[in-house]
Amino acid sequence: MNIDIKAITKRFGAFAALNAVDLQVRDGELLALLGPSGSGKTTLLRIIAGLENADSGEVLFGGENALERHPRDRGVGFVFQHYALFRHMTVFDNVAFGLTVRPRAARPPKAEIARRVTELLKLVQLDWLAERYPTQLSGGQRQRVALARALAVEPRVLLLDEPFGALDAKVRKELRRWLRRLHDDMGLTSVFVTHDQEEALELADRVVVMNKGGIEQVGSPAEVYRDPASAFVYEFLGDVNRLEVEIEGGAARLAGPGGPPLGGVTGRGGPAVAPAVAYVRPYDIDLVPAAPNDAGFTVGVIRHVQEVGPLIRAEVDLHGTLLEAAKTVHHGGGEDKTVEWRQGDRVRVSFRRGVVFAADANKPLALAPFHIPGGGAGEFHAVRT
Amino acid sequence: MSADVFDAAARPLPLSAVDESRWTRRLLIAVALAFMGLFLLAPLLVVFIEAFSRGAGFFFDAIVEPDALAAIQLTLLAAAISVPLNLFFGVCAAWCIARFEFKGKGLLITLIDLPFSISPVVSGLIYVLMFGLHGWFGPWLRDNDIQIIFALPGIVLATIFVTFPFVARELIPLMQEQGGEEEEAAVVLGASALQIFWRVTLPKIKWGLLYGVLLCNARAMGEFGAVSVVSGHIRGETNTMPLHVEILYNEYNMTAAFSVAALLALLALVTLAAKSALEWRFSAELAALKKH
Repeated sequence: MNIDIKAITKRFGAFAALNAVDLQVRDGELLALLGPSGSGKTTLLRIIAGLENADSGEVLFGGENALERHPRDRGVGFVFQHYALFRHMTVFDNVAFGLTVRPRAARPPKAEIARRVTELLKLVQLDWLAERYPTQLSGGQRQRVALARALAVEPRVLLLDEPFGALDAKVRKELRRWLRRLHDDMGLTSVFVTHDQEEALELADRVVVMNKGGIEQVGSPAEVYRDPASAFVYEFLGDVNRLEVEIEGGAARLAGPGGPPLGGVTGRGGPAVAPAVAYVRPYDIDLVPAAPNDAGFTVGVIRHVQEVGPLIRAEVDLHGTLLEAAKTVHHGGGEDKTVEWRQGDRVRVSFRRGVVFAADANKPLALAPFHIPGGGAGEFHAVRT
Repeated sequence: MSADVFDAAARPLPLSAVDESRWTRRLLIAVALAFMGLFLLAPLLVVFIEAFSRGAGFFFDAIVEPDALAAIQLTLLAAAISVPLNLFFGVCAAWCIARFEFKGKGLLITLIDLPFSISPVVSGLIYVLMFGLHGWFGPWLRDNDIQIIFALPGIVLATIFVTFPFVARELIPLMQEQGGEEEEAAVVLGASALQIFWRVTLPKIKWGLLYGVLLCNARAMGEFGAVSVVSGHIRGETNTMPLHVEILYNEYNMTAAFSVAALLALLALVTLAAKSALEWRFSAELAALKKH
């Protein structure tokens, strides 16, 4: 079932939690609301569920007004961040709760309830824990009980608030994959809230990046990652180097006197100097040993090298600005064509791709490497892509 | 070499950072026990010894004597009316304080504490001033032939006033700590307000509630000051057990006074024993609730 959110506004005193937010959730998709704390993502989720009232705006479930309905009649499954399991009930009774509170006419017979609860517990692989109390379970198990409980009422929409927030890294990864499968198998429409960009990008069909009560960008994980619509999205999604730059004559150079040139900026000619901010991801930075005659190039010094799993990260001092560069390690087999990075090395720094947000432009500009004819120094031509 | 090893084994284990030395520990335990013995256990023993000093027969005579029986009945009746009412008011007050934000919440919390901070005599006098013959409502009550002061309603009112904070005070921090997420989960699962209260909230707070009710009950049966002001001390009619004890004592009828006092103390002990028994019976469940 698709959900239409129209101009939802919510204030807590003077604080605007949501500012006229519009969003369409498509039928059957798994949507992530991603943002830092205070961005309004949880408030939006709670408004959809009816646990919070919007000051103005509309929420439509499959075209019909959901805000008029009491939360208990919305057909929504909600999984709370801290699970909110009924601590005095067994796992079985927790899952059965939604069925046993139905009015007598709509309540399935006892045997039918037992059958469905057992079925759900099997689905979440916890049927052997039916008689335990929530306190006797691990975090991951509680999470799955919470999910089974939410699914017991056969919701049309599944809402999850930071579903993996309280779990350790390994369990989190397993549960993520499992949730993805479950969502697909059951044909649900699901919305989950997270502040973890990796989780959002890995799990969701579409990601909604939120900031300060508004939506910055909506798109597939690849879209929001490759083409961030705003500086905020760029900064929030993954590791990124933020550089204060100046644009002059179609090229960007590091701000400040004598700032080295970084690359060409597409669609920006003219001699006027404009302050801007450039974003470059660590693995879009190439480091090559600098030759003695490289004076005209962008040369920096490696301050620190660190190997993290399959990645090598280097901290480079470029004219007083610290950059992070990264590349994957080629362990064993095959010839490693990349050059080894060593602490203290002088390196030529080039930016394969990046984005520049000029103070006087509302659209992001692409940062592209200079084309250097014959490896000679001094002349720069921006590559048009 | 081996002697050294034995020596080391004979020495006490090294103390952890939070452990006190053995002597400090013993001293602290001794002080605590001595204090308890002197101020709690000894007086309790004295009450029972004195009560039975002229034999069990005298003890029972003192209790089944008509005035004493009337006092016992009145005490139980007053408690039976005021405790359920305070249970209801207490849950309501704790509910709205723990769950809702509203103007005047601070004032309400302060008001709940008022009976604790005010002298019971003053609490009694408030009702005399309001409902007494020369009080605000006195003439109207007299014209309509309603007796509040020097009668059961006055005693109940004074008892309710004095014991009001027990249930609410016990529940407010508990409910604030537990939060309302389970209730929210229940709403989304389709439960009605009444179902949520009976099936989610009440089981969550029942131990705190029980404790509050037991304390409330103990105080309701034992209240002296406030009840003394509004009761009028009419023997066999408006005397509660504590007041009856005082009268007997003032008449130098020591053994009878201690007999009734022993019964009163016994009621308190039974209350405590009941609480302990329940805690023991449901210890697993209790632990589960606390750990969560």
